[in-house]
This record gives sequence, structure tokens and C-alpha cells, in this order.
Amino acid sequence: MLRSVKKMFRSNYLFTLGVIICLAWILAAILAPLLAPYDPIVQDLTMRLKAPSAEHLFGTDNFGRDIFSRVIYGGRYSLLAGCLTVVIAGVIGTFYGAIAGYVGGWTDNVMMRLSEMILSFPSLILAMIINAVMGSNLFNTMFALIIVAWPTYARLMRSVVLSVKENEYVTASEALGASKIRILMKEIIPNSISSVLIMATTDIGNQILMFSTLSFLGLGSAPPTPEWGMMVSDGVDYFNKFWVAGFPGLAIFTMAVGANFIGDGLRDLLDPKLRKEF
Amino acid sequence: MKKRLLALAMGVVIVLGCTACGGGQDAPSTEQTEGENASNTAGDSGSSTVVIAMGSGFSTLDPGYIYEKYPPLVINACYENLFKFYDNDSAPEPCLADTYEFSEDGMTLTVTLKDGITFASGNPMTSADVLFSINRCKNLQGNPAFIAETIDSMEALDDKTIVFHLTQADSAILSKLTYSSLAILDSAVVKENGGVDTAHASTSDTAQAYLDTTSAGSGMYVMTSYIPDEEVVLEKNPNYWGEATNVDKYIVKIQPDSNTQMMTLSTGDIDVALNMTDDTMAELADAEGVEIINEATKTVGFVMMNMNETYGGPVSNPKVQQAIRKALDYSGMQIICGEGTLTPYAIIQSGFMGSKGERAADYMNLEEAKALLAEAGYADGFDIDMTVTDLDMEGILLTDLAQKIKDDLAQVGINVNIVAQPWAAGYGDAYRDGTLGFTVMYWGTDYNDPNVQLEFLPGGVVGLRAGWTAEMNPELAAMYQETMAATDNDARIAVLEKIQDAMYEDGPFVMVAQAPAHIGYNTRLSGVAISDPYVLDVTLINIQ
Amino acid sequence: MEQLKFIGKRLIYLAVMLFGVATLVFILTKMIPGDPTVANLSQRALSDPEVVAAYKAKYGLDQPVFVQYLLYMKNLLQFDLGTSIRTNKPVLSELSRCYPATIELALFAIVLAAVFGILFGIISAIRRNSILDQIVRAVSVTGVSIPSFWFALLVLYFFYYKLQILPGPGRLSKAFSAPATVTGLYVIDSLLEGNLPKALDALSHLLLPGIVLAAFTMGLITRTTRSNLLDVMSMDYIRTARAKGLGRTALILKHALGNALIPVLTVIGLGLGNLLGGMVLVETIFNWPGVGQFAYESVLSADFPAIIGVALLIALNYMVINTIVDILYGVIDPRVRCQ
Repeated sequence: MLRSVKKMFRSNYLFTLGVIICLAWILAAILAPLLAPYDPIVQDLTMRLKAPSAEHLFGTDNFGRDIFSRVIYGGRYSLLAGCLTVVIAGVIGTFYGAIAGYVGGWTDNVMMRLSEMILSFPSLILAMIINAVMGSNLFNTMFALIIVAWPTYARLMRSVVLSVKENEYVTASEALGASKIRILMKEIIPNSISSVLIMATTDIGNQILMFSTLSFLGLGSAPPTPEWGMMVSDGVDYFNKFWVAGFPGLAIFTMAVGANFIGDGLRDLLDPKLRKEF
Repeated sequence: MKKRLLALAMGVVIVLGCTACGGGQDAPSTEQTEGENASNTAGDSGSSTVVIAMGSGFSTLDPGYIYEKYPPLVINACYENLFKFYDNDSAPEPCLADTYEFSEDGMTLTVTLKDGITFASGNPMTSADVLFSINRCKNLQGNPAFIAETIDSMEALDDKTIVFHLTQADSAILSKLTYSSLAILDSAVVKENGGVDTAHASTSDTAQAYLDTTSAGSGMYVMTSYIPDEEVVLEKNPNYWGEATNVDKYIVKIQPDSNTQMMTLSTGDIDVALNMTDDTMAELADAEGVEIINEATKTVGFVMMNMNETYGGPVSNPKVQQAIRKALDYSGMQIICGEGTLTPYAIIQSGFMGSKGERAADYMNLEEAKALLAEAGYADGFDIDMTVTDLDMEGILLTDLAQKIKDDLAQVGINVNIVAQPWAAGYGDAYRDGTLGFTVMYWGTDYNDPNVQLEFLPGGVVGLRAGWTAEMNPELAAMYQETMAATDNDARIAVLEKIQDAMYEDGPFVMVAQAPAHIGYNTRLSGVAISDPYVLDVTLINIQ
Repeated sequence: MEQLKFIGKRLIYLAVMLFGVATLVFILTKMIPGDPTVANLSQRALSDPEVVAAYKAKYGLDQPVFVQYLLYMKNLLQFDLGTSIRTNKPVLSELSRCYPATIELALFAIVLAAVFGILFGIISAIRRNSILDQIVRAVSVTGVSIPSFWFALLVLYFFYYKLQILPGPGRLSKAFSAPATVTGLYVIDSLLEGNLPKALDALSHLLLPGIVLAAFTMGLITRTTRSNLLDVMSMDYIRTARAKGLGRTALILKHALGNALIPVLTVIGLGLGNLLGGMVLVETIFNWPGVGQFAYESVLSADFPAIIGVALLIALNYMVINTIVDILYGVIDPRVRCQ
């Protein structure tokens, strides 16, 4: 077992790199109070907009706050938003799609039309509207992201379920008289779940990007929370002090890259035959 | 292969079909530019064109509906008013008016027009045009209608004489008459295009679409082209009745990117950049042929604390209000806002007639603030929410001001939790309805006169938003009318100073900073100056 | 004949979906706790009840929500999208002003993404597991992971600001005025005008935003091309052709590529659909007056006719493209038609 794990890491550089990057960010997020040299919120106007130096590795922003510390603390929000959104959207989408696919008929039709209506709407605008309705903070932003994300999972799950439900073990259960719910929970979902899992792992990167985009537009947590997207947007006004927008953006990039490397690697490993789009 | 090509061709045809349908409906202005194209594409069409870069566009250029920051620049170029501010900090002077006279009780103002004024269309200006323009503004009930509130009625004694009957003595009436919404329109042309000035104008007037793309005024320039969100072209009015400058054409480009403004200014592609920032100005420090102006405008950011305990909680307590006033780091705030910022003494901004200038530089005192808090019963400080909206004050984000305030108040034990709320999604309503407990907001002057600031008095528009009713301070509230009626300048200054003294350390408002404007311009131009009423007065600019 | 029935069903379905989208968006926008008067009146005017009342009457905002809905739907059936509360112009004309800008950018980006995506995908599949493959995969993952707003700032900073080899934000340089409108696509319109320098200038302005927008879709296309090609290349008929002695390149171009690219078509279609929805951030940063920017401003002002107008346009986009892709599938792959 250990040997095959080692082989997995060795044969796939990018996957390994992805794991290292993500572990690094997770550790940084957890150990932030220990790793960050300065408080991320306290201001010091005498040290405004200083270029990166030994004292301030990533320089300071327009309030004199240390950007390195803010980037480390900021990892928490991106990680939380990315992972939580995928988990919740995935769970909702899985059940929704499984029910639609298994029950079929008009129920399926209506359910899928509803999810398509959400899908055909530009996700950013929808998220903005939801945010406007509910007010702007971390949880409401995640709520908006979840609403926008679940239809994709639903559609995937449904298409997989459509083929799985013809399988023999399902028809056998039906013949035996098992209830629909039981079949759903015991046969259908467990056998269809792998494609959803694969999509979920690649989706984490996407959600991190979406979250940082909403945060860039000012729809995330309120200032002075050190969210990366918002830090980049602060930096736009100080374009020539490239470190203000540069480093937070780099952080978003590396975290998304890490998540995507993991997702890609997992996909190659777990299901080499599954190349179809849904 | 063939099938794929067919499919691709289908796709392209459908898309092109959509765009062809879409392209069919166009604003008339783009057809006008066909003639312009030839002269424009010849590169820089000679040095008598001045290019201005402006940070944001406008929804409307119809004087009867304008309310945004930038339209006055265009309206001041294409139209004229009875009176005008030729200098940012002085009193209004006659422009289209020849003579004017107030009655003894100040309730009547008689104005005579100069001779020989003609509109760009060639039509001569008469008192009928004045009546039409001002009545239209009033009756459209649009954003700027309030400015004609004190005008009860008008009559034209003859072709050149207008009598204004005011609802009360109004010390600011001349300033109000300078405002862009009371610009004098060519009534014949506007009526031809659906303009109406009668009582039901708000539902029957249809001239806005016309006036949004074409000017109908008597000013030095004529608007010849307007592409929304891209540019406005102003060309010299060939029938201008007065003395024009030597600038034949203005191209006002809408350029929200401050770095592009900076770069094009330094290469000479544009002549005036209206939205320089601290960051971009630093880049131009060594540039030749470029000058920068940094000056405080009259747009002021202020902290508002609700006097009503239900909304304000701890900050409804006057001792707490004074403690907060003492705890804010004003010089730090000025650094955040950029060069040229200053903190006004009280509610009358520095630069206005009657202003007492700036607040003392050493006003901040943390010890006094803590003592006051203890007296009020908050020796250990308190927690409070500060609602902030997504607007900006001359480019300075309100959330930035909020973060500074949060940091300052943390020094005296007040723990501020910033709550962000979009303007159109709740904040605007709460602000208008007076239910905001603690916030930082900004106030742009509607017209260039200290009387606009009277709204901060108890019972005034902004005062009520802070729950400060007239009953809470009748003496101060009465000064509203006193100032309005004080048509003698010295008398008005005296009342204004009394108001500022009363509010220096009292009341639910803390005036934090007057936002600076930063204009960069090419030194081949003369007469470039920051103008509060017009943003940039192009009628004063000449090419050297 | 069956193709006609198929198209007919699709059209009905389209109409129902559009109605659903309009209703959904209407409900959502009305749930925003604020109203357009606040967004479009000055601070001063807000406190003047007469002005507020006049404004509301003008836009029908003083009527009960249900009545507003019915009125709106009635107009919609007559293809009247209403008047934008923010700009006071008909929503239809506002959209037809913004849409061509987005189309131009989207087409440019999708062509860029498709060309390079497919190319990289082929290279990656042929040279599987080599260094070249790893590089290409790294590049495609980069494209998919980079935040678009940061990427936009980055390319502007280097290519425009520091190196000054590419133009900055905007569709045309200051020296040119917009070409006479035929399609609304500046490059094409300039050519139709006979103005080559202007067309080239418009093209150069498309480069930076196009690259930024293409990045994400290119990553997806590369990935899909690669995996599909690998799949197809392992199939029996390829091995047969190989055994027959066909050279590698000819093999790929003639036999494998055609079939491998079918699913890639879906990705390209989805990508185009996405791009035609207007990318708010890129349009804002590059000062590109397209649908994205318009939608953003409309949401900020709670301007519900405009928001619904944009929603319908984008939904229409998406569905039209989906339908075209489905039809193309049917044309290309006869097996699909039998379903």
C-alpha cells in the first residue's frame, strides 16, 4: 500500500507539488498567530506603502499594515470559503441530481429546468444580487457561491445516475421490492459518487477564485478583514506600489494552482477512463 | 471536415446577425462623428484642441435633471447662467445679467439681461428664455428642482427684465442662480424637441433625450458629439456673443483608469487629467511640462452619530460624542486622504465665505477622550457597529475612512465593528430615514454657497438623519432662517461664525476632512484651476 | 423533418425558460432591501417627498409589486424591455450599445483560446508524460487558476505601463474616433470604412483583455483535447491504421483528431457562452463598455428592468449556443440523433 502511494507521488510531479502547496497554506492558516510577525489589523501611518524589505517581507499597505502577516491570515478565509462551498454545494447537488435522475419523468424535467435557469445566469451577477439582498459578510458570500455552484453538481450526478440506474444490482433491488429511498441511498449514490468527488476536488480551486473575485468587488467580509481579494482591490489604487496588489494576488494564484494540481492528479489516478463531459 | 466548416459558418452567421440587428439602433451622435472622423484621424488635429480626461461619465446632460459631479463641466461650457462664479472662493458675479437689484425686504429680485446675447442657434436671448428654463427645472421635479425652491414665481417685465418673487429673503439666491440646472436654455429649440415648462412638465416633457446629446445654450461651446461612457466633443460656438478663448475644441474623454490618465498626460496625449491620485502624482514628480494642483474641495467627509438612543446607543450621549471628537486622529486622516486635505473648523468648509478655517492641528487628545468616556459611564469602552457604504468621496473610499476611525477609537477602548452595506441595498434608505446609528459619510455641496451647510443644523435635512430635531436645540435651529434671511454679507458672516462656534465641540457631527482634488495639466495651458462649481472652468483656459 | 420538430421543441422550451429567468430575476431584484430611487436621486433630493414621488410615478415604482410584475411581463411579450431606471434610456437600446463590444472581445478570446488550447492539447497528447507535456499541463493549470482581475492588472502593469508595447484600457486610442456602426465590432467596422490603421489599433486593444479572458477557457480546452485525444488514440481503429503503416502525424490529423474534438466543441461552446455573458472585472479594468460593466452598474443601482434585460440576453445567449452545439453534435455524430 505504502509503495503504491509512493509511486503515486513520484510518477506525478504536479500532484505532489499541489499537495505540498496546499499543505503549506493549511498550516499557515492554522498557525497564523505564530507565523505572522505583525498584527494584521493594527495601522501605522508612518510606515505607509513601504517596499518589501527585511522588516516587512511583502511591504506595507496604505495604512502601514504588514502585508505578509495579512496574507498569512487571509489564507483562512479563502480556504474556508473554497472548501465549505464545495462541500455544501456538492451535498445539495448530489441529492438533487440523484433524485431527479432516479425518479425521472416530469419531476426530472422540472428539477432540471430549474437548475438550468440558475446555470444560464452569469454567476458573478447572481452572486452580487444575492449579496445585495442579504447584506455583505463572509457567510452571505458563501451562501451566494453555494447557490451558484450546486446546479453543476446536480447535472453531473443526474447524468451518472441515469446510467447507473440501469445496472443489474439496481434492478435486482427493485425486483426485491426495496423502497426508492433505500435504493437511492444504498445503491445509486455510492456507485455514482466518484465522478462527483473528482469534480469537487477540481472545483475547490474554482470556488477559491470566485470567492476572491467577490471579495475584490467588495462583497466579502467588511474591512479591515485581510481577505485576499479585497487586498488586491486596495492595491489597484496604489498600482505603482506593485506589492500591495501583487502578493495577495500571488497567494490566490498559488492556492488555486495547488488545489487544481491535486484535482487533476486525482482525476488521472482515480478514473483514467472518465473523460466525458456531462 | 466539411461538416465542421459548415457548422462554424452557421455559428458566425448567427452571431453576425445578432450584432447587425443590435447595431441598427444607435444614438444619433455617432452619425455625426462621420464628418468628424476625417479631421480626427489626421492624428492630433492641431494644438488648438484641448483633451481632458475625466474619471466617470454621466447619466444625463439635461440641465433640468443633472445631479452628478461632472455634468457642470460640460454645461458650463455650452450654457450660461444669469450669474457665475469666476473665482472659486469669491461671490457670484453677473454673467448674462447686466444689472440686478433686491427690494428692501429682500423678497424681490429684479434682473436685467445684457444686450445682444444670442444662442448658438442664432436665436436672441430674451426674458422668455429665462422664465422657460427656470420654470422647467422647477416643474420637472427632478433631482435639481430643489434649487429653485425659494423662487415663488417670476415675471417678465419686458424682453430684458425679469422679476423674481421669492418665498422669503434668501441670502443664497444669487449662488443658486449660478447652478447648472438653472442654465438658460434656448426655449425655441427645446420646445421644438419636446420641452415643456408648465406645471405638469414632469410627465409631459420629452426633451431629455434631445438635451442628452445636443446642447441648446448660449455658451462658448457647442456639444457636437456624445458617446456615452466614452467621450464628449465640444466645439467653438460660431455665434458666440461674447469674447471666446483661443481653444477651438475640447475632447472630454471618459477615462476611469488613473494610471492611463497619468501616462497619457506625461506623453502629451491629453492636456488635463482630472483624477490624479497620490500614487500617480508621485510618478509624475519629475515630468517636464506637467503641473499638478492639489487643493481641498468643499466635499467633506463626516462622522454621524445618531442622537436617538434607539439607533445610536452609546453614541447618542453628548459626552461620548465629544470623546469621539477628541479621539480622532485628524492629521492621520489627512494623510490617508492625500495631499491637500484639510480638516474644517466646524460645519462650514474652509473656502466658503464666513468659514472659520481649519480645526486646531493639536485638537486630538486621547487622555481627555478617555476621561469623557469614563464620565459618561464607559470607563471600559464599548462595542459598536459602524455602518459604511460602498461610495467614495472624490476617490477616497468611505471604507478607508472607516478603517482609520476604527483604529483611532480602538486607542480609547471603543471597539468598532465595520458593517458594509451597499448604497442601493439598504444604506441609502436607512440614511435617508434617520435610522443609522453610527456611520461615516460624505456631503458634496449642491451649489457653491455656505448656506448648503445649514442642513447640518438641528432640524435640517442632514440633522434629521442624525435624529437631531429642532426641538433639541431651538436656538441653533433658528440660525437656519437667520442665515437665509441675512442678505447683507457681513451680517451673514456673523451668523455663520456663531454657528461654527456653537458646533465646534457640540452636536452629532464630526467633520473629518475636506477631500482634495488633484488636477494634472500640460503647461502649454493657462487658467487651469480647481473649481468647486464646475470641476474645471473651461471658459477660463487659454493656450499659451 | 425530424430536425424541424427538434428545432421547434427547442424554441418553445427556450421561450418558457426565458419567462422563468425573467420571473426569477424580477423576484430577486425586488428582494433587494433598497430601491432604485435611492440609487438615482441625489442625497438632497432623497429627502424631498415631492421629488421622490415624481420619480416613483415616472417609473411605476409606486404601484404594488404584483402590478409592476404584470406590467413588465406584458411589455416583455411585446419585446419591450422597458426603460432603464438608471440611465433613463430604453433597455433594448442600452443592450444593443453594449453587446457588440462584448461580442468582439468574446469572439477574439474564444478564437485565441481554441487555437492555442487545441494546439497545446495535441502537443501534450503526442508527447505524453514528457517534459513538454508537463510544461503544457502547468500552463493550462495556470490558466485555470489565475484570478482574472489580478492577471489583468499584471499584464497591464508589464505590457502597458512598464514596457509600453501594448495599448492600455479602452477600445481605441485617443487619436481615433469610433468607426461608423455597422456591426458594432470596431475591427470589422474600421475595415469596412477602409481605415486600416484604425482597424489595427482596435485589434491591438483587443490583445490584452483577450489574453486575460482566454486564459481560463484555454486551460479547459487544452485539458479536454489532451484527454480526449489520448482516449481516441488508444482505440482499435487507430491501432489498425498504425499497423497499416500510416505515419504518426497523418494519423492524428486524419483519423484521431476529428473524433477527439467533438467533446471539445462543448467546452468551446460553453466557453463562448460564458464570455458572451460579459466579464465584469475584465471589462471594468480595461474600460471596455460591454454587457458586464452594464450589468454591474445596474446591480449597484437596483435597476431591475436593466438587470432583467441583461439576464434575458445572457440566458438567450447560453441557450442559443447550447442549441447550436446540440445541433452540431447531431450533424457530426449520427449516433446522437438516434437518442
